[in-house]
Amino acid sequence: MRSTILLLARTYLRLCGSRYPAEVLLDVREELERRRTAGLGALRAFVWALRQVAVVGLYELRDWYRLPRQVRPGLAFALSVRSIWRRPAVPLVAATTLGLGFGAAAAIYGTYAGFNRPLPLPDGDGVRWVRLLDDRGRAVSIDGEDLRLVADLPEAFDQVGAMQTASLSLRSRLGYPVRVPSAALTPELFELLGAAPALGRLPALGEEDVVVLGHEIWRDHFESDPAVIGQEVRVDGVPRPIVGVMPPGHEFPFSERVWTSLSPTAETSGMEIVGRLGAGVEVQGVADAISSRLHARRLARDDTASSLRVEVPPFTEKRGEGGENLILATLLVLVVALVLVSCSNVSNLLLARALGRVDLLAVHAAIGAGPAQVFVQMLTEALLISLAGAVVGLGLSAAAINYIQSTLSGHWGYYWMRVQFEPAVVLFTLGLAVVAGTVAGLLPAVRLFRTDLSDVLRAGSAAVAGSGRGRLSAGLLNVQVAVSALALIIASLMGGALLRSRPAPELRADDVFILSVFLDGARYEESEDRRTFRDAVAAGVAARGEVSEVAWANVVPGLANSFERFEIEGVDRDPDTRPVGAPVIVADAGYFEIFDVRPVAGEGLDGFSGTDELVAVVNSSFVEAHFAGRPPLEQRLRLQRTGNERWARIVGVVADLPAYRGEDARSRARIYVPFEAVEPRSFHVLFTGTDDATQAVHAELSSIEPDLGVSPLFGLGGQTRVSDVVAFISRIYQTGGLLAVLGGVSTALVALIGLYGALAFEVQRRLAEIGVRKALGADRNSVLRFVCRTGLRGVAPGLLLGLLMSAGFSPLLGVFLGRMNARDPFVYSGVFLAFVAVAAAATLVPGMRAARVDPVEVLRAD
Amino acid sequence: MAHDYLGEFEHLVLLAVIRLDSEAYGAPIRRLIAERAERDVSFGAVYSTLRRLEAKGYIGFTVEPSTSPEGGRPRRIAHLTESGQQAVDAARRRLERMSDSLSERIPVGPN
Repeated sequence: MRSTILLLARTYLRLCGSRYPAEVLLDVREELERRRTAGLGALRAFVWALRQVAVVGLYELRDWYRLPRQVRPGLAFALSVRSIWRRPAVPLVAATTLGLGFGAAAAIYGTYAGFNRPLPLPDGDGVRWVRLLDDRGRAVSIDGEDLRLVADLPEAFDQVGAMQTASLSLRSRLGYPVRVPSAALTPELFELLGAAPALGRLPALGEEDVVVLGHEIWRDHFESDPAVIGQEVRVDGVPRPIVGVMPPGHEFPFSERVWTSLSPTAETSGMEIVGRLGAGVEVQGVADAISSRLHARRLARDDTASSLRVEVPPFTEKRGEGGENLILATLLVLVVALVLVSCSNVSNLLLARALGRVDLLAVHAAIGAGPAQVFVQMLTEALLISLAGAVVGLGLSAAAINYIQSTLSGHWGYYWMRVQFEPAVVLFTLGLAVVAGTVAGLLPAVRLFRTDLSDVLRAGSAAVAGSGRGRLSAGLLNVQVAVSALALIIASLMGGALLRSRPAPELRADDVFILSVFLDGARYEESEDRRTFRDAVAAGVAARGEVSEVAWANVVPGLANSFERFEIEGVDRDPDTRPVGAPVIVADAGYFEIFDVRPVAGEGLDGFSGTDELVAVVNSSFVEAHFAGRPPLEQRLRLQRTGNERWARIVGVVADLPAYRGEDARSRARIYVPFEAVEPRSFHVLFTGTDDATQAVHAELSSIEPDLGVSPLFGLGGQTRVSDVVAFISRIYQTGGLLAVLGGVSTALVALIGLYGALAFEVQRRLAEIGVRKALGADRNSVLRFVCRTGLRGVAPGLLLGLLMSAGFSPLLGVFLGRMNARDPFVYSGVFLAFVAVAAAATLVPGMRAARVDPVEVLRAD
Repeated sequence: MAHDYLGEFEHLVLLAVIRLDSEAYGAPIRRLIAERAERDVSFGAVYSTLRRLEAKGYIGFTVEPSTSPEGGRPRRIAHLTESGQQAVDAARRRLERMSDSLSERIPVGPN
């Protein structure tokens, strides 16, 4: 708490232009301690210190603006505090408005910063990787000889090593093997990383076949026993000594849990080269040198080898991120722009408020406060309001950031990505608040600075309001409306995705367990061997009481299925259109039973083993989407991947098995192929039974294949249900949707306040004109209509611009939109209508005030 | 000599710097002015004036290591420059000339 307050104070002082903030704080602290010793209460001492720091900042600002020395920032501060305290309504609205914007901006900034961290290693910034691409932009595999050529480059890397990621089966003390993500690193790479083990040591040069455990594996599977160092553990069936345990949080390179040593030969392929560049070495020069060396080597083997493009980015960059950075950066720019634009709203509110007490300011001026003093006071008020907004924003962003980290951290897969509420977020928010406060305060401050306040005593507020609003303000209001419309559309689309991604109620998810199996190695090269293994497991499990039903499939309902291209016999496809695809699920008959998938026509998935002909079963949505009234049975499909370009005869139709609500027929379409026809190496065992069922299946698998690592999909221990999968996938939409809805609603609120403030000011400015209209016979309704029309017409260009921007931007949101169409006409027209309604509501209050204007009074006052 | 002109508060701060010698930094300066001149000024006013006096060339700063037994940040200590001394001297003489032989016409306060 104390350090946060000090950080906030130091940031504030620095932003105000202080060159020695630490010195100021030391002085204030020294005096504070003296006062406390003299008996001043803690709260009063704190308030005194706060005031001192605030006033130092204001003095800095005064000097920065080169205002006359007669200006007294301390007095301005005291008067501002009193003014806000006595009339808190407008400051409260303004602080909330700004706070919403600050909160959104800080949350996005925090997420962006969390995604773009350096490697959490000593000098992690300096670690780079070598990215090799062919002329079509595809990744090129790197082998041991490539590594040697790169390591031998003179004046390139200080240190260079290589790594290979895989998963391996580790037989832990729990009695059964688990499948864990692992990385094999060359000893040079271990040394280059500079990460020290928490226990034991790292593999030495030339030492092979040793294992280093991750902290979580050591904790969960080896009971945090320090005696594991030196003991042997079976890795992929081979006993290897454990030499070290890494500290918590170390998951280099991506999210690995176990490390082995790598001794690359010319045959070792699929590696990644990692190194630290030498001091003063130019990156592009190194990339070019690597490119020419590796290309020359490939040309020597094959003279048609394509040229190589080499990049040497920092280790955490170019990791196949799906445009999240672009989306976050765009959102950040938009939100910051919106905050700055909403400053004009706050400006208008403050100006309208100043008009209400302009006579008081005039009295101040009359008794000696110069225009500069009034200027500083207006600026101080705006800054205080903005800083109060920053406190609101910090609270909101802390909640949002914690929510994002707690719900989404599992989705990223890169261990350095960690979204957290950190000092950088606080600095960012305070910086934004000082800029926004200054911008918001300048307009009223300049207006009053330029007004001869002695005129005010004669003519009242008209002396200030007389100067017109420029095109700039109208432009700003439209920018604001455009951004708000964009935010509302994004919010509605993501909100729609949120609703549609809720689990479908008919999916049996709570009592179906999953274990994932990967039949590695030469023993399972042949599909008959895999079949034999599976039959043995099925027989063993059937004999146990814990498991009641078993099914085999290559996918789990709810997890994204990869689409596979297919062709329907006799249907010519227009070559210009995108090829059609649908998920192909390899499953056995038990899959339909366990999820209660009803047959609609023809047969199911059983009874087709051993035949040479490939058969398929499709679901009702597939028939609806691709057969349009024709009978599907006995038609043939050519399946590109699963069927290896073979034709599959459709033998049956089954009902849909929806995982989420809101899927349309095309996205529900599925093709099922019998498990026996493919016998994939990687598959899931799905089963029901008692709470011990997972243990039982584990035991059965390891009794047949002692070193076969299986993973329960999430986490390394425990059990996974289908509902966990569905919840995991839903969470990404829920988080994105919830944040977008909050963001959209708050930006719309900001725009609403802006529109209201602008119109209220406009009505005030045009009182005389309205008075003349009424004197010439306009009735109340026509004045009301006139004001509403003026307001709506004023924001129409912004609204149209916002709709166009949305149509361009929302397709970029990709995965966050889930099953929503990025240009859903209902959403667009709904937002349009909502905006018109909201704008009409915002014009109503000023319109009604205008309608009540008494022409005689107005014209007399003029 | 227009550039020798000292505002009242600037004058007070310069005198405090002379009096405090090696302890002339923000907090003691503010305290001294509060005690001796009976003006409870803010830190902001003190820093702003110190900055202005430095810009006029009347004072300079030296960085001294912390004197606190627990250690801590070094302090910037203000010291008078030669033109600062001249300015104080000129101000003092101006005051003396203006109040010369007026002592019996100025009512004496309680202290």
